[in-house]
Amino acid sequence: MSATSAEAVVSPRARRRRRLRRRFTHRKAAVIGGVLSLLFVLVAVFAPLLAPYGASASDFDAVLVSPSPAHPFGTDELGRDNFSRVVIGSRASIVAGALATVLAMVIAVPIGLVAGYYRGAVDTVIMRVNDALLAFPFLILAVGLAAILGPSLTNAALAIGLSAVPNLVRITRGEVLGIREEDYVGGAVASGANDFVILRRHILPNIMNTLLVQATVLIPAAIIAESLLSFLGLGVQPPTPSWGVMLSAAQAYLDQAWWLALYPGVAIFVATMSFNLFGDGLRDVLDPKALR
Amino acid sequence: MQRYLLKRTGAALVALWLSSVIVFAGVRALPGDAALALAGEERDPAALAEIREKYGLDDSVLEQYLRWAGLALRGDLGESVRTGLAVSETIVQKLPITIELAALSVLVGVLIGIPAGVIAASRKGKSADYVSNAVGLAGLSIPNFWLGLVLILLLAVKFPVFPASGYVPFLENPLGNLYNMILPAFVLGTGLAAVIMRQMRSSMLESLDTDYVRTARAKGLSEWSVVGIHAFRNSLITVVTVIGLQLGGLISGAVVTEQIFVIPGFGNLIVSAVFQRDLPVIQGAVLVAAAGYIVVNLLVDITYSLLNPRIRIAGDVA
Amino acid sequence: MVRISMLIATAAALAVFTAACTGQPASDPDQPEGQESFEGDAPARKGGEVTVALAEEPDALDPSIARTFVGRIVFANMCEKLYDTNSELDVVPQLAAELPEISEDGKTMTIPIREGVTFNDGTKLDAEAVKTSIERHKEITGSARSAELAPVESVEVVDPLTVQLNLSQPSAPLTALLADRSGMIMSPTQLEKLGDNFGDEPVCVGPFEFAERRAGDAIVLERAADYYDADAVNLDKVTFSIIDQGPVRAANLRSGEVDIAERLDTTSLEQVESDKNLRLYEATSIGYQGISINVGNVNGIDKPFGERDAPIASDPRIREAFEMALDRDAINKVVFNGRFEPSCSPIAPNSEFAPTDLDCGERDVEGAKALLEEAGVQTPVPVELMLSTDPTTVRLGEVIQELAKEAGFEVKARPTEFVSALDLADAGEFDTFQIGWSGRVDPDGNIYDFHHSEGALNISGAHDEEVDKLLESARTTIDPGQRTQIYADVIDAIRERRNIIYLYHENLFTGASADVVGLQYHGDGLLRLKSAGLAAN
Repeated sequence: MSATSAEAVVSPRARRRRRLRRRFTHRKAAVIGGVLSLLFVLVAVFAPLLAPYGASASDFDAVLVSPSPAHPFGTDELGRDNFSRVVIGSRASIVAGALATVLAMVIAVPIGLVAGYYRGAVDTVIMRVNDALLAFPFLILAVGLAAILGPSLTNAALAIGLSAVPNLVRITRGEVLGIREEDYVGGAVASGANDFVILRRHILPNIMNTLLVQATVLIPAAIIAESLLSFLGLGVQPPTPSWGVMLSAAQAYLDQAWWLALYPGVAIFVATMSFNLFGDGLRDVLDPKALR
Repeated sequence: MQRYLLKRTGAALVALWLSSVIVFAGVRALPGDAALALAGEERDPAALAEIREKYGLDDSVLEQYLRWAGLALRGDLGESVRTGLAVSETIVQKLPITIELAALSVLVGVLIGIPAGVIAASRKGKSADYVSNAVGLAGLSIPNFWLGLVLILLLAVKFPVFPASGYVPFLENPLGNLYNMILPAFVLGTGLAAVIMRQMRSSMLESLDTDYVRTARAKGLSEWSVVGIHAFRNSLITVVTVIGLQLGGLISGAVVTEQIFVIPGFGNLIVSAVFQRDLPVIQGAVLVAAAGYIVVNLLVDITYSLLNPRIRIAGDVA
Repeated sequence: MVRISMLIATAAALAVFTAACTGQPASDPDQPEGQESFEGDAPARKGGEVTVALAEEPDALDPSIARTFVGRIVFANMCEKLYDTNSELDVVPQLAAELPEISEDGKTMTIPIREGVTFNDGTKLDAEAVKTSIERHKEITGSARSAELAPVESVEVVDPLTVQLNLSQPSAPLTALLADRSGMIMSPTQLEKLGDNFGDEPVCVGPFEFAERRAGDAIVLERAADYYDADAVNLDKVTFSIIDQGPVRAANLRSGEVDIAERLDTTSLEQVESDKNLRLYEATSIGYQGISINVGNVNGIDKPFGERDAPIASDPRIREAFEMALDRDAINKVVFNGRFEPSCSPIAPNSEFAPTDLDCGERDVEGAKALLEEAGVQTPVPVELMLSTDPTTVRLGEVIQELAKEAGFEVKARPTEFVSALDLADAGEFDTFQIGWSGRVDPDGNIYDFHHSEGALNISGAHDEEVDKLLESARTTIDPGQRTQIYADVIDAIRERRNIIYLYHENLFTGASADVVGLQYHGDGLLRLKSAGLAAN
């Protein structure tokens, strides 16, 4: 019985996937977003090769030079090439984005699954604690965690990831509550399948779409959050470049060296926008009724 | 109805209590000896010991928590370790400033977002729609602290149109107060405008698609009355919900905006307190923020259930 | 790549560039542009209000427990003390009538009190009030003054205008300490009323009195009617606004939102100097900046010191090589636009106790390399540098890294949030720490606690009986000439030991509107607004 129903489930799914892919590629904006996001990831991965001067090559001869052929984005207060630092700074953003998102998912999804599936006392306890955590504004949570853990990139990513957990738990649980009522789940329960199998084979795959969409929401949020924490001094520590750190240093030179404040911010904007575009397209295709 | 109210309120109280525990534990987890933070430059060991005694830093964590919670229930959130001023007084002084900033940002968000969303919905598929969609997405993607820096650079430093920073109390000078708030409110409001615009557009599109509207159109009612009255009104409700959901994000945004524009509000209070390890202020302020959020949510939920019987019957508390 | 010889060229180029752009003579680091006060100032008109931007928020406005530097700025205008310091940093009487009379054995200090003075609430200033204040400074729980006043055993009222301090041992620094918070006299009436909460509404003797405080925002002072020298006061109101970011302070000064901004960043100075509506005030700080090296703090500052393994801690030659690798002039030029004073001494150059023939030496990379070879240590030598996270200090760390690299040191910078850094420093969990001290008028305040084996701030864990004895004798020797000699020996000894490598003295820069006249700004960095005012025109 279960073997045949498994087969019957697979092929319509494959067909659906093809259809979705076509719908996705028809939306120009989403494709552009996807390509840009990929580009951003590649830049981050190959940053050392792409940065002509490296991250910390100071040149006291060429301090605060405005954009020129030798330095397309100008140089900073220690004569370092701004372009190279922006390129290398992408690594911090991508690490934060990826790490925070993965962390949030890994922690929140199991909790949400358990709460939504088992309901009852377990659910109540989890949800009350979750409500309490949700009550803290995300930034305050992130700042507090970063302050507790100490300033560093990994700790900032940790703080951001943990701050995203309560909301993700809420969303996961909501989805599970819905799916739980579906017939195929009832059928599986009736046929005596054990809980773990049900969760893994029936429920988890069906919330994948929502999780995927949430990931595309989380990544850009994490990128901005990392730059913010670094800006406040709680994330990446100088001299390691990170867009947030560079913006923080740029404040003192706002008048004399506008290029220091402009380019890192543009980088954050482009990276975030790409993921948002991509995520938007994905959402429209997978989950058109999703509450933004 | 009674049952739902009770259940919901009970849940809120539990969440509130848990929040206080989380705040307290979190603050205790901050590295750096609190006594050292107070001691400033001169760190005479005898003075440090006295400070520990005065603030009960040597008592067990449970004792400290109970003492703090007990006082908090009576409205006494202790004294700032840095300035010696009463925390509750300071919060009462600063909260209205941030609330003003948040309110003005919501105003900006609504003034920009709603018309933009309507335009986008009514011109679906045409270039105006794509453009506003892109602009909306851009609004979401701009880090607002960067936007703040850029606007300060352009509109306060290069071309002195607005003040670069600062705050004037409203009662002292209402016009000056609003003038100082324009840039910060704009910076904080753009993100919200983007969200509102997208929500407005999508819910209007949804409403415009319903049978009711199609019938109305078939009957020959003018486009305006179809769009303007029904769809618009329905969408407004969803927008209000969205604004409610965004309140938490607004506080986060206010924290940053206040930093950049040097506004002595609630957000700035928390950040400074964290950096200075001013434990009573952190505890008190974060507790107030969490409590506020829980209470507002409770009220929203109750109002919503009063308006929407289906939720009450399902009895789903989460 | 960095070529250090190019550093000088750059600095020169920068200077020329600056001159070309601002049309003013190039900044010569030996001739600072700012002044402490402007002679021939226009006369001030009576009345008017002034807003001052402070770099931090003061802590409690209670002289017994206050610990912040900015708090002292506020106090300087509303809470007078037995003594004050003048522009030469000499101690002069303020609420006292004359300098104290010290007995032969140094254990009795007699202080005459100025006549006809009332507190800003009308209470009379007399010896009883002075006694109350000093005793409160000593005894209140959490007092920040008890260590300073430790030698004071008792306070006696000799007559209504004379107070006598009985000391357990002679104390040379005590007079200067009475020119700081320990000498601030609080209204006994207000102390009665508010007790421990005096800081909520402080009342002292001063040209201005406390009016209002908005936490994190501003402190407002108003003209005091009862002040004994009220005729000299011009302003009606002074508002201290808290703006902790340097560039924002400067921006507010330029836009006119504040009239005076203290401690401007070196990066903001050119804009202020080139602005015709502003004036730059400058004073050499009485503090210092340097690198503290952990030579013996292995268990924490309150436990016995020991020996540390790390290369820079174990062999003084390695420390010497490290110092030789540094170029104080280059640091000054690149990090601070040449605006600070390179130095190798804890005593500021304008102090009467400053050593007269100090030779800090030149950079010597070859010599450093030779020393490292002699010490037989493997290069590159790893050194961890803990420092604070503000942008200027981070820049300093990066330049130190570059300079030390050439001699064979690999410096790893560890920017650490200030409070945590202090914690780690006390616990001995650091290799080297870039830290400074805001300075005290008496040299003892800049040296003893850091170099004496029992010093409260001896994070480097230095313990040397000879040095200890020298420091103790400097404390108890009253004659200034003798003290200067002892301090010269002290400086020689600690320079050899190198538990602290001194790098520079900050110059303090305050910008003010050209309309503001009569502003006094000395090496202690305190803004004195008693006779300040707005130009009459």
